[in-house]
Formats: sequence, C-alpha cells, structure tokens
Amino acid sequence: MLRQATKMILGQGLRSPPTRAVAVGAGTPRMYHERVVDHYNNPRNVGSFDKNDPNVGTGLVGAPACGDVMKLQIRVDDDTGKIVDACFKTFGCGSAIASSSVATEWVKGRQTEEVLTIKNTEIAKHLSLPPVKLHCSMLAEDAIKAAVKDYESKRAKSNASEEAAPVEKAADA
Amino acid sequence: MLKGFTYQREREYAAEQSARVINAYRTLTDPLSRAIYILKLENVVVDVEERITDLELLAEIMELREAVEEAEGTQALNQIKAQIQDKMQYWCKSFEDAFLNKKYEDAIASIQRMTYYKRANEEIIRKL
Repeated sequence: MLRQATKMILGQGLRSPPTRAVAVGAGTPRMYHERVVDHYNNPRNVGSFDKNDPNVGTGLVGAPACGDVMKLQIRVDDDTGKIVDACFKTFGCGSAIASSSVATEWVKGRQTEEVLTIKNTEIAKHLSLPPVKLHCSMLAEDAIKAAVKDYESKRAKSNASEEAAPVEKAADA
Repeated sequence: MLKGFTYQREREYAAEQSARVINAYRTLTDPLSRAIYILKLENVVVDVEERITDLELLAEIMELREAVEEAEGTQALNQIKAQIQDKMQYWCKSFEDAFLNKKYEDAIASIQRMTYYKRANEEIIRKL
C-alpha cells in the first residue's frame, strides 16, 4: 500500500540512461532506441554559424513540453542552391536532440527545395520514436523549413537592395 | 471499519485515496502545475507540444540554456538559478493577472514561459 504512495512522492526519481531524459509522470523508466542514444552520445554537427552571414539560414523553433529549443542552421551555395554545411544546437529531451542531429545529416548536400520535402514521419521512423515523442521530429521538420525560409528571405532582401542600387546611381548621375 | 468492506478492500481503498490526496497536493503546491490545473477548470487546456512562434522567447531560452551549459562552479549556477526564480515569480504573477482578467491567451503564454524556466532549473539542479 505504501509502495504506490512512495512512487508518487519520488515521482521523477527513477531514471534510465541517458540521464538527461525528463521523466514525465510517475517514474516509468524511459527506453530510447539505440539510434537516439547514438546521436545523443556522438552528436554530429553540433555548433553555430554566424547568423549574419548572407549564406546562412537560421531556423529557431521550440515547444515547452520537454523544454525543447532547437536551432538549425544551413550554409547554402548561392550559385547552386545546394546546402553545403549544416549545424544544430538543441536543448531538450534526447529525442529532440537526435531529431535535429538527423536533420542536419539529411540536409547536407541537398538542394534547398529538396529538403523542404523531408517529413517528420521519416525522422521519427529512422529513430523509432514512440508516439509521445513524435512532436520532437515535428520540431526538426519545422526547423529545416524555418532555416530555408530565413535563407530565402535574406536572398530576397539582398536582391532587392542590389536592384535598388543602380537606381540610386542613376539618381546621382 | 467501513460496512461491507473486507480488510483487503479497505486497504486498497485507503491506498487509492492516499494516492489521490498526494497527487492533489503535488499539483497544487507547484506553481506551474497549479496554474495548468486552474486553467483546466476553466476548460482551457494547455497543449505543451504546441510549437512556439515567439522568436524572442526562443532566443532568450537558448541563451539561458547555453549559460547553464557554460557555467562553471556552484556559484555561477546558483546565480543563474536565482535569476530563474525571479522570472518564475514574475510570470506566475503575470499568469494570475491574465487569468483574473480572463485573458487566456496571455495566461497560456505565461505557462509556456514557466515551463521553459522550470526545465532550465531542472538542468541546473542536475549540474549542481
């Protein structure tokens, strides 16, 4: 009789690796697929690009559930429209970290239009995410789209200012 | 002894009731879970999986989590912890005001912030 009550008091006391996993609810140990653990222990592409660099697109997304904040950045070759490099920085649960890690791997070497078709279900399947963690893969999909959108809007702005310049020159002359 | 109950069933009943009381206590003593519960009573359900679009908030939380990650030593961590405590109190008050004025969107926004701060705080506790 006391056991059930004690479990509820201890609540978050039970954890299983990775220890950063947030245990929601009364202490059921959370199991992670080995791919998730791999991305957690050997994260690929963690880092930051200069967000003011015109070739860099930055996507910043988040959901409070696991305290997820996800930043995904792409470096695009202006001439080919190809993503030559990608990096991420994610705080939150293991699934969110792994999802964004996978996202950076998948966007590298692909066209910006192409990566917009990456679906969260593909990421979730790759990581065998349980239903309760599907929203993490959704975040990663959003982050990719946000990064591309940011790059596109930067390009649009710089193209607009390039067009404006000749007009100014004409006005000077 | 309750009439009609066997000893075994009485124990089970008492255990269930104890668990419910403890659950209620935990929900009501934590400001965040209390806020969520209060909103629920007004039929406003907070979806914590809903994506945040407030870029300023996201940037702030990113900076906060980075600060926690880079903090070295208990003093630095406790300093950040104190800052988070202040923010929690501020947004708790903000929730209260929003709720009393039936501004449920603002109330939800306050809860989202408190959730983020709470998670950051948990990270600090793990580091300490």
